[in-house]
Amino acid sequence: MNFDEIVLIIVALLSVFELGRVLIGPTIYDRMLGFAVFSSKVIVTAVIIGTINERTFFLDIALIYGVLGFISTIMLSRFVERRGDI
Amino acid sequence: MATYIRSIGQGLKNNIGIILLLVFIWVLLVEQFSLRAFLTGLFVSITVVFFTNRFLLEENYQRKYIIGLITFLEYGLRLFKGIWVSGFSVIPHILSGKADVQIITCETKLTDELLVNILANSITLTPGTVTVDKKGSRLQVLALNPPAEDENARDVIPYKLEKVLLRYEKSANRKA
Amino acid sequence: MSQWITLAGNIIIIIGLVFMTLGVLGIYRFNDYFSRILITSKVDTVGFLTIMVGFIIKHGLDFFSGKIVLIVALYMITNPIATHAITRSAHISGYRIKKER
Repeated sequence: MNFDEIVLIIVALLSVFELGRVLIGPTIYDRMLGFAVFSSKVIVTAVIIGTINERTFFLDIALIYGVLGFISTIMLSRFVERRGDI
Repeated sequence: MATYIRSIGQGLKNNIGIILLLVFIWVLLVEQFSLRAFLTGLFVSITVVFFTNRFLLEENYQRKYIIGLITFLEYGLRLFKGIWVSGFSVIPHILSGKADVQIITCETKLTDELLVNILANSITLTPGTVTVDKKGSRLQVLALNPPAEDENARDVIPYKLEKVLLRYEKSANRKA
Repeated sequence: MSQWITLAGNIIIIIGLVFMTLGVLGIYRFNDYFSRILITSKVDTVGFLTIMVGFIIKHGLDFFSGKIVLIVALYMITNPIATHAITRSAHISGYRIKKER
């Protein structure tokens, strides 16, 4: 087994273990924090898969996922801050 | 008509740095070092800069948003080092599970809006401090291990980063 | 020579993994939201940057590491804005733990 594959397995386990905060979080801000941390794990996972397969289009997927996670976090926090009036 | 075309040419000549940066990013995304990729990137970035200048900003793009290459490099290296050092200093709090957090109001010496925004974002990026609100040059910072009542409240601001930005602001004021 | 560069990259990636594990561990250790966002999320950012630097060192100078530099630049611009938005939303909605000054 390669070094990169071991790193990939560890990062995947961490991201699954981290989603528990989204399930049990007492306030809604804890759930948003859990989602933001999870999206950074997804970017790392895409870069590692691109390294193992030697393909560069996985990096484009990582770029697009970063933009989407940023926009959804901003929109959710605005929605909560103004109590439903975006 | 002639003056119109001349004003467009003058506007593009003022923004030559940002056009070259956009062409570099385009070549990086296409993954080819060829003349065709370069020409396509030049066309796309000139179109983007022209429309942004004309309809969105109504002001010079480069003078408003670029802080100078040497200042940018020095600031980036210092920021990276600061993030690392604060990351190591936060580890004992995680292992022991105790934290003392509080919101503190403090004031920076910078006055320019863009520079205050850059400083607030780098305060957020270092572990141990998060900016909550900003009004003018007064910042509300959520800090770990806050300074006591009789100490200076400005201790939460990273002094070295502020010094780099202050030097740039003075030189820009003298030039203008 | 190249195996030494690969070894240095691997060591830096392992340091980044340790930071990331500490971040995920800290998300279950604190009781209130402000301590969590102040310590946990930021340590996770340190881990992300360190792992990316390790991959850039392992790949050398080609298009792959150029694209990783683009991803790191985008992340360093957007991540503080997202954190600030969540914390400001909590502060405006009236979440307090201690008297502020």
